[in-house]
Order: sequence, then C-alpha cells, then structure tokens
Amino acid sequence: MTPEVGSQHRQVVANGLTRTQLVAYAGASGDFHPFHHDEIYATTHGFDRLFAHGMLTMGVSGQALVAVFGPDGLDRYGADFLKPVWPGDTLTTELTVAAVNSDGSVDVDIATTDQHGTLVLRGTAAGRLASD
Amino acid sequence: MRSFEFPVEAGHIQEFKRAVGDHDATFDPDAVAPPTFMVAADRYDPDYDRRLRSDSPWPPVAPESGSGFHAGMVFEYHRHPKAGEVLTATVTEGEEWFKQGRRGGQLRFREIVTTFADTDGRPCVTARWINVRAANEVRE
Repeated sequence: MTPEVGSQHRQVVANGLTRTQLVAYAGASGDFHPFHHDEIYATTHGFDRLFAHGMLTMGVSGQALVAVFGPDGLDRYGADFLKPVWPGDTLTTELTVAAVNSDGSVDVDIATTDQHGTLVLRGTAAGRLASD
Repeated sequence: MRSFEFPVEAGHIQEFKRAVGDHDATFDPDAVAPPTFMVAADRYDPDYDRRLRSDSPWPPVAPESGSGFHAGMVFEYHRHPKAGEVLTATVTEGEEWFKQGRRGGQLRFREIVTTFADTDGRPCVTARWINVRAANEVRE
C-alpha cells in the first residue's frame, strides 16, 4: 500500500474460521457469551449455529492494518459489525486509502467480506503507513 | 463511572495474537498490544457480565431480555501500550442516539466509553463500545 488515494491492500485474515479459534478468542478476550461457543444455546435462541464475536472479526481484520501501519502506526480504528460470521468462513480484508493528510498520515476504508462476497465488517482507520 | 486496573501482560498479548489469527505468535516481553487488545481488559473488570460467576446463573442475561447486541467498536490510540505496563481503565456512559431500523422499528444505539491511562495518568487508548437494541425493548 502506498500513500495515494485509491491504493489498496488485500489480505485473507481467516482461512476457514474454526470453532477452536472462537474458543481461543473467548479465553483471550474474556468474552464467554454462549452465542460464541455453545451450539445448543445459539440454536435455541434463534440462530442456525454458534457464530463469531464481532470483536473477533474486528481483531482478525486488524491483522491487515498491522501489515500496513506496523504495530504502532495506527491513530484510530473503528468498525461496524454488519453480518454474523460463522465457523468455516474465510474472511478477506480490503483496505483502500481514502485520503492523504497534510501530516503524511492516511485515512483508509476497511471492508471485510466472507467467501460469498458478503460484507461482514465495514470500518475506517487512520495512521501513518509503516513504509513512510 | 467506575475504574479498574489492567495489567498488560506479555503472555496475554501472545494468547490474544494467536486468537486473532497470528497463530505462531511467540512470547515477546516487549510486545506492543495489537489494535483490539484493549477489549481484553474485560478479563480484569470485576463487573464484567460475560464471565463465569459464582454468585449468579450463567448466562446472566438472555438475549430476549433486551440487552441488545454489540454493533460496533472504535479505538482511538494516543499511544500504543506495551507489555509490562499497568493501565487504569475508566468506564463511562457515552452518547446515545436513535435510528430507524430496516424492518421499520426504531433502534437505540448507546456507547460505553473506556479510557485507558498509564501510571502517569496520561491517556493511551480510548475505546467506544456501541450497543444496539430495539427502542421498544428499553426498560430503564
């Protein structure tokens, strides 16, 4: 990615998301809501099966941001969780430079889609690219 | 408003990185916290309601009770915390707004704002948790 409007970075951030990864995320984050690890609970509360934490989707999408901004280049990262993410899903995050600021930082649009092309997360971020 | 301490531990960062897809993350005593790591402060929040508790049934809040869903999140980084720091998390109520839902009903959005400050009291990260629920489910 270069600091030019329209420049893009595309990265597969989850390749066949597993239930094990959901459980790992529950432990690491502390969020043990049963929607994300208890299939019986999820199905008896109106869902086809258990599904990923929105914050897991945001977390894996964040890998693409670290790839272009480095570990400490971000000033801001925000996201909306648009659709459930299910075990088995493969997620791809696409970053697009929306603006280049006078201080050299950039604003990027974030789109994470599943293997069907469904937009599951939409967001924005700002910071200084690691290659600056 | 309430506050609690969040020790940023290298092993916890390694565990979190592996969970968000960096499966081969190794232990780094000087690791920088990954972008969404501050959400893991919930492990240290005594009032966090998505953990096992000895004094109440689990889960404590069923979805039909109208607690809503996590709709989005925003992090603002004043600087990026590293392993070894102890941050103070201060939780406050943020903004509230209403929006028409696609199925016709009105939705209520509500922010919970957590500010993470270092031992000198300087802010490191501000996190905004955005919750949404049907406005007609709101029972104060």
